[in-house]
Amino acid sequence: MSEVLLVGQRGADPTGSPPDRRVRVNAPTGFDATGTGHARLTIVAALFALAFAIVGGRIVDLAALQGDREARNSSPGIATAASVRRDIVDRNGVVLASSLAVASLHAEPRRVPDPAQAAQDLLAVLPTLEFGDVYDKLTSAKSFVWLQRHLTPTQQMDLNALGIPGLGFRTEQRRVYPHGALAAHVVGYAGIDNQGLGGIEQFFDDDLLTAAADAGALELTIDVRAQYALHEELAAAMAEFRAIGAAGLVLDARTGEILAMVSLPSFDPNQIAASAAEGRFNRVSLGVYELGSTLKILTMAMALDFGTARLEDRFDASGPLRAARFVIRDDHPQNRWLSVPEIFIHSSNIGAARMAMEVGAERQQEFLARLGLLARADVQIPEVGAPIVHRPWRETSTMTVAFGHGLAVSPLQFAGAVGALVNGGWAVPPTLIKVQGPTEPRRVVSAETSQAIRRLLRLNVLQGTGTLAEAPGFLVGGKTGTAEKARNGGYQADALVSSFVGAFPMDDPKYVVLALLDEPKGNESTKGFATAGWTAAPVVSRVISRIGPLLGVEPVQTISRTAQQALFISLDGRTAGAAF
Amino acid sequence: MSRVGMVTAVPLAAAAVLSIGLYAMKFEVARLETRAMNLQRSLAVQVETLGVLQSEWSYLNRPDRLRELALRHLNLVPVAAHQIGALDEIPLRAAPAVAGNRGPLSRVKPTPPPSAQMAQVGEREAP
Repeated sequence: MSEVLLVGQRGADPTGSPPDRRVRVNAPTGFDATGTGHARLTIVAALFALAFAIVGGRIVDLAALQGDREARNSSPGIATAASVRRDIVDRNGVVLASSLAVASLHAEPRRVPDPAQAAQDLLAVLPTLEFGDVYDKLTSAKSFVWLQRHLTPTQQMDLNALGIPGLGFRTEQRRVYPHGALAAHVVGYAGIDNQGLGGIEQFFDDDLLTAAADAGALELTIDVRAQYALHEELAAAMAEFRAIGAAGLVLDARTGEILAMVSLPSFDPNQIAASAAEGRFNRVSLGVYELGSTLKILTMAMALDFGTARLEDRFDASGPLRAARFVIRDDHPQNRWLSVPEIFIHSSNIGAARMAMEVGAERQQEFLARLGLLARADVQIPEVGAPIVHRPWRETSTMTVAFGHGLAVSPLQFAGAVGALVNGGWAVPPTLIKVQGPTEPRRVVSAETSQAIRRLLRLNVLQGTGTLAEAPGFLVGGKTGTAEKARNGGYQADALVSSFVGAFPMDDPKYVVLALLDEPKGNESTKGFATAGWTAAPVVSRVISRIGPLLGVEPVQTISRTAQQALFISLDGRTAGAAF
Repeated sequence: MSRVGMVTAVPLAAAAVLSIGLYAMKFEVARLETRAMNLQRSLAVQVETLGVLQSEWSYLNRPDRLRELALRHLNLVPVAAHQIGALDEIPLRAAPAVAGNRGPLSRVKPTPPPSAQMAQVGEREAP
């Protein structure tokens, strides 16, 4: 018994066979069990190590190397930023158009239990709705109907308080124009579903909708302060002279940037459905007018630039000029030979026609095309009118265009042409968006021609038809134009277009200002005259007095000697070089 | 502790520490994500409010309204051209009188220096 116990303690077979022998019997001959285990473990460990290394490496890669990008990809971004129409601001960042989130009321008619009662309740909050209309909508078979778009917060609260089942609110973007009618023709307007339908809103529709959320506002060249000054002065003149419309423009003569652009009557883009089509018509860029004598600026520049006339030259204005079936007369006949400055300040049609004849029809058309007056202006609104040009261009066309008849252009493109003539001779296509970077300047007339035009414009304000345009301290220069409106193949003496185009300060013009009145009537203060010198010129004077200080133009108390020399011209055409 | 014990205990301890760290990190991430979402939401609300306020500000700054307010509350008129001058048009105040030094500006009538007015104000305020 003790033998057995002892054997059991040693782990030996009680039958007497030794334990190591049993191992040897069960294992295959020549196999090292410990070595095999080690090998397997090593392989498994290596595989695990490899897997962990890959996972670890990827973690390092994600966290340390690409951490920023991954974080940005997974961040949700600002929820409302998408699908919001960008703001439009003026050159100083004043908001002209913005999108606000507003609630709109809709209904699911099948879920409204008592349509008649619901319609009754709704009318209490929204009195502008029609009972029948609302009832029809609430009993219709549609699954979704709009009841009222763009509620005010108070209306939304009141409607919520009604607690009518089946009605709901949906947040929509609504376009608002804080300045209302002030810049309506520039900014344009957007429809109820946020589609641009006019002005900048239409021209940049895609851009306003799809630009990146952080693109910021669309910045215009408009200056709200200048826009207001022009708007107010034009409206006052329109009321005073009972005109049917008015147009005005302030243009940077060096860059072509439009600082103010007003067309009256105007409209409120916040209530576009209630506006009249007449108000939406843009007289500055879409309307084309025979501007009359203001176009003599072009005739002067043309003759001087082609060298067919010098400032001292004289032309025969002693009697009416006959051409084909027309007789060209002067409004203020001098009945003598006139020098170039005299033709300009007395606004002699005969003199201008003779000057144009010496240039010739072909070169005249080439010159007008060079100034961009024979093609549609290229500006960032869709409402742009094409000029009306005589075709074929006869000899009489050359003569009449010389004093502003037979060629109808938009005030916008004309102001651009004047800008080029006074700024030293560089083309300045009018623009509503700031000019990005330096552009290749294109010369349209020589610097000498531009200098001569400056002298003539200043002379006309000092001694000619434009005296009422003077604004003390700002050295205004400009030209009047009074044209009879064409109708049924003739001209009507009682329907005028009176315009004035000016620039200041004339010794180095910074801004071009244009004012146009459509069918003004004279009154006591103008001694019954409705001509431009009495109606449009004072508007330009007041506008310049107001915007000059705003735009940082330094007024001069005493004109410097250099400015005097630069602007001096005698009536017989001698300039400062000869006089001083 | 034996070698075998160490081989087992160290990884176990490391695993425990890492697990706790991982859980803490996970909760921290969840918390931050909630916070980020709340911030985004509040940011969206702020952006919207800002838009409303900017429109409102622009609306309140309508030039015709400002004109009306200025006429009603301010005793000011727009700047006229003749009120704007150049710096060298302003006569300089005479230099303090130094014996024998009568400079070119001595003809300009001296105005009382601002310090005199200041002194009067100061006297009144002095205890």
